[in-house]
Amino acid sequence: MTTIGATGDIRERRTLRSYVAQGRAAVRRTATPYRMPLLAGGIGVTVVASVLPWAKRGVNFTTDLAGDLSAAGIGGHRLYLLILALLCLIGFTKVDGARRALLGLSIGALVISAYMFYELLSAGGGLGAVGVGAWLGVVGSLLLLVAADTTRESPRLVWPALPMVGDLAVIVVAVGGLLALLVIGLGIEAESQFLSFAVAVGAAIAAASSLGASLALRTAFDRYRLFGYFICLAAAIAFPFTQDGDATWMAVFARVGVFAAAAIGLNVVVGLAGLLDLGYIAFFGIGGYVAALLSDAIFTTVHVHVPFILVIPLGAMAAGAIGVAFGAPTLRLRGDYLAIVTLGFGEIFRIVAINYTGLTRGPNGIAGIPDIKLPPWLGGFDFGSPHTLFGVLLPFQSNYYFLDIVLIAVVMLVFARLNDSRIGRGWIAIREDELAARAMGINTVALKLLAFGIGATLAGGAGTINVHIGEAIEPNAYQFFASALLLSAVVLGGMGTVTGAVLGAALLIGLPEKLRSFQEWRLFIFGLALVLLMRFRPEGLIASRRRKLEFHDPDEGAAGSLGTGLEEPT
Amino acid sequence: MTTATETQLVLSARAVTKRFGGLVAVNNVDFTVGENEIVGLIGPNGAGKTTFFNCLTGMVIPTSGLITYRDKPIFGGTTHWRARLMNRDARSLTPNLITKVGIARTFQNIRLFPNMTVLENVLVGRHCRTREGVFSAIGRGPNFHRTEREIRERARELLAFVNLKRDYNELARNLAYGDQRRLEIARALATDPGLLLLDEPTAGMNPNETHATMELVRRIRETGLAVVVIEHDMKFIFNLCDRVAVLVQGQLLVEGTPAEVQADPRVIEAYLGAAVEDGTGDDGAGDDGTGE
Repeated sequence: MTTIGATGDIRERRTLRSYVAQGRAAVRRTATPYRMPLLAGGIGVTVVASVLPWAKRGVNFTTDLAGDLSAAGIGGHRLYLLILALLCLIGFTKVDGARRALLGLSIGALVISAYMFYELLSAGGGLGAVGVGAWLGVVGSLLLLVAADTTRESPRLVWPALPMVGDLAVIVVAVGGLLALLVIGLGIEAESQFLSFAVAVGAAIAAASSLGASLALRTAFDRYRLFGYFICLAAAIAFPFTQDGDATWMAVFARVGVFAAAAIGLNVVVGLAGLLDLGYIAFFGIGGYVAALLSDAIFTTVHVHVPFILVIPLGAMAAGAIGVAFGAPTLRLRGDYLAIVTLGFGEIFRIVAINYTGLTRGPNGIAGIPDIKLPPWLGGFDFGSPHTLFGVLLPFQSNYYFLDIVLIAVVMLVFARLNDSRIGRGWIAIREDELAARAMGINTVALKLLAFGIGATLAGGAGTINVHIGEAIEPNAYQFFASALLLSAVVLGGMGTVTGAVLGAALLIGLPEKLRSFQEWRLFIFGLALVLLMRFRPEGLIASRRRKLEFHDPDEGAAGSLGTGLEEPT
Repeated sequence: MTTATETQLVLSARAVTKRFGGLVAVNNVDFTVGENEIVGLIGPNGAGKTTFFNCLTGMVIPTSGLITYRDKPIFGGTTHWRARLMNRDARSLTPNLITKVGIARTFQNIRLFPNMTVLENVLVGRHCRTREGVFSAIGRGPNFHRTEREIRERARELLAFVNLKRDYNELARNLAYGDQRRLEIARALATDPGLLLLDEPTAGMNPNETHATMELVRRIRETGLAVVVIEHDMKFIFNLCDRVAVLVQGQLLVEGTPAEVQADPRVIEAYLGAAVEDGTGDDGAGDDGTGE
C-alpha cells in the first residue's frame, strides 16, 4: 500500500469543495423574475428611508446620534445608508462580481439600519420612539439583501490591463481615498455615527473588491512597486498635517506604529517560519526595559543616559540575544510544544520584571522616561516639543509618529528582502515540511533560531520607542493578552504580508480608541471578528499570494499563479 | 559479476543495525554502492528498506555499524562537537549535513513543499550549495543577484531535465501525481548529490510513467551519479539495476546481479512462493500482498 500523505488529503478536500461550489452556482444560474422589482424596491425604500425622520418627534437624540433624527433630512448614518443604496444601482448592470458586491452593500445597509433601530429602541424607550424612517430602512435593506441573493453567481470582475497612467492613478486614488476616509472617520465625534461610517466603508470596500478594484490595485502595485510605496509613504507623512494640531489621534497612531513594527517582526516568526510564538511581547518588553533603564528616567534605578540613537540598537540586540539564548534549547520542539514553551517564556519575563525590584522597581515600573533628544550633531531635535511645519502645528506625538514611519520602513525592508531570498525560502520550506527541509540540506535548527532572533530583534527595537511614547514602563503591560493581541493583528491582517500586519495593528490598537463605549465588548468583538475571518477569509484581510492560493482553489478565480499574480491559463 | 569492489565505493555501509526497542528493523546489513552504479533494494513490506534509507540519510540514527560516503564517515566515525551540543548521537551526521556531503533522497510518500511553487521547491534544494546569509539578503549586493540568477538557471535546467513541462509558478500541490514524483527528483538533484536514494519512485504510476521514470534514472546515472532504488515493481528493478540487494526481516538475504537474484530460491521463498519469472510484467507489486 502506498501512503498518499498530506498532499493527497489537500487534493481531496479541494475537489469536494469545488463540487459544492459548482452545485450552488448551478442553483443560482436560474434566473429569478422577481429580481429586478426586488432590487428597484429595495433601493427605492432605502433611499426614501434615508431622508425621512428616524425618530418620533419630541424624542431628542441630537447629542449622541448626531443630528436631529426627528426631522427629515440627510446626515449622519442616513447619509451612509443613502450612499450604500445608490451604490446598489450596480445591480442593474450585468457586470461580473455584481452578486458579491450587492451582498456586501446590502449587508452593510442592513447592519446600519438594524443598529440604528436598536439604538433608538434602547435610547428612546421602546417602539414608540422609532420613526417611519427606521422601519423603512430595515425593510429596504432586507429587500436589497434578498435581491442580492437572487443575483446570478459570477466570478470576480477582472479589469482589462491598464496603461501606465491608469495603474498609477489606481494607486493614487486608492491610497488617497483610504487616507481621506480615515481622516473623515476620525473626525466623526459621535461613536454610533462612526460605527455606521465604518460599516459603510467596510461594505463599500468589499463591494469594490468584488468588482475587481483590489485585484487591479494589486496588479498596479506589483508593476510599480516603488511608486506604490512612495505614495503610501507620502500618505503616511501627510496624515499628521490633517489633524490640525490635535494630539489625540497622533498619540494613538504613534502607539499603532510601534505595534505595527512589532507585528511585522512577529510575522517573520509566525508567517514565514511558521513558529507559533505566544510570548512575543516579552521581547518588546526587553527592548522597553533597556530603553527605560538607559534613559535616565525620573524613577530609574540606573542613573545613566545613553543617547537614544544607541539605545535602539542596544535594545534590539539585547532582545535578539535573549531570543537566541531562549530559542537555542527550545526550537527543537514543534508546533504545540513550542507554543507552550513560548507562552511560559512570556510569563517568566513578566514575573521576573515584577520581582526583580532592584532593577525594574517591580510593579511600580519605571516612570518619568524623558522624551528622546537627538545629539547636537544630529540637529539636537527634541521629540518632546511640538513643531510647526508648513504652517501646521504638529503636536509632539507626531515626532514619534514620524520615527515610527522610519522604523516601519526599515522593518518592512528587512521583511520583504528576507522573504524573497534563500533564507526566506528556507523558512517557508520549514513551515511546509520540516523533515523534508532537513533532507534538502537546510539546517532547520539554525534557520529557526535565525527567524526567532530576527523577530526578537525587531520587537526589541520597537519596544525602545514604545516606552518613550508611553513615558513609563511597568510589567503588567506585557501580559499574555498583549502577545495574543499582536498575534491577532498578524492573523487578522494576513500572515506573511507587511501591509497586513500594519493594518491589523491599526485595527486592533486604533479602533478601540475610537469606540470607547464598547470597551467591555472589546474582547468579544475581537473574538467574533477572528472567528468570522477564519470562516470567510482565512488568509487574512490582506492576503499574501501564497496564502491566497493555499486557501482557495485556483479555479475560484481570485488569483492565478504565484509568479505573475494574474490569471494565466497554463 | 559484482562491480562494487573493483571501483571506488560511493557508499559503504558495514554491519548497520537499527533496533527499535525489541524490534530489529535493520540487522547487521552490509551494503555498498560503487561509482556510477544503479543498485536496487527490494524486499517484502516491513523488511526495513525505508528504515535503512533513513539510517543512510541520518533521519534515523543506527544502533551500531559504520557508514561512509566516499570514505567520509556519516555514521560511526564522527564525534562532532556540534552534534553533542544538539544532544544528538555524536556518531552521526545530521540529515542536512549528510545532504551537504552528497547524499540526496526522495520519499516514499511524496514530501514536497505543497504551498511553494514548482520552481521554489527546486530552489530550496540549492540551499545547501549557496551561502547567501541575512546581510546579503538585506543588502542585495552583486553577489546576491548573481547567486540568485545562477540557482534559478540551475533549477530551470533540472526541471527541464526531469521533463517537467509545466508552469513553474504553479503550486507544487496542484501538480499531477507523476509530476510531483518528478519534481521531487529534481529537488533532490538540486543539492548536487553524488548518490541519489529513490524510495519507491514509481509507486502509483501507470506503465508509461514507470517507463519514463526508468529512462530518467538512466539519464541521471549518465550524469555521473550513483543511484539506489527501493521499488516493488520487479520489472522496473530487474530492467534497470546493475545490482540488486534483497532485504528480508531486516537482514540482507541475497545480493547480486538481477539474474542471480531472480534465480535464487531464497528470494522466491521470501516472497512466499510467488514466482518471480523472467521478463513477465504481472509479478510486480502484487507479490507483497501475498507476502503478508
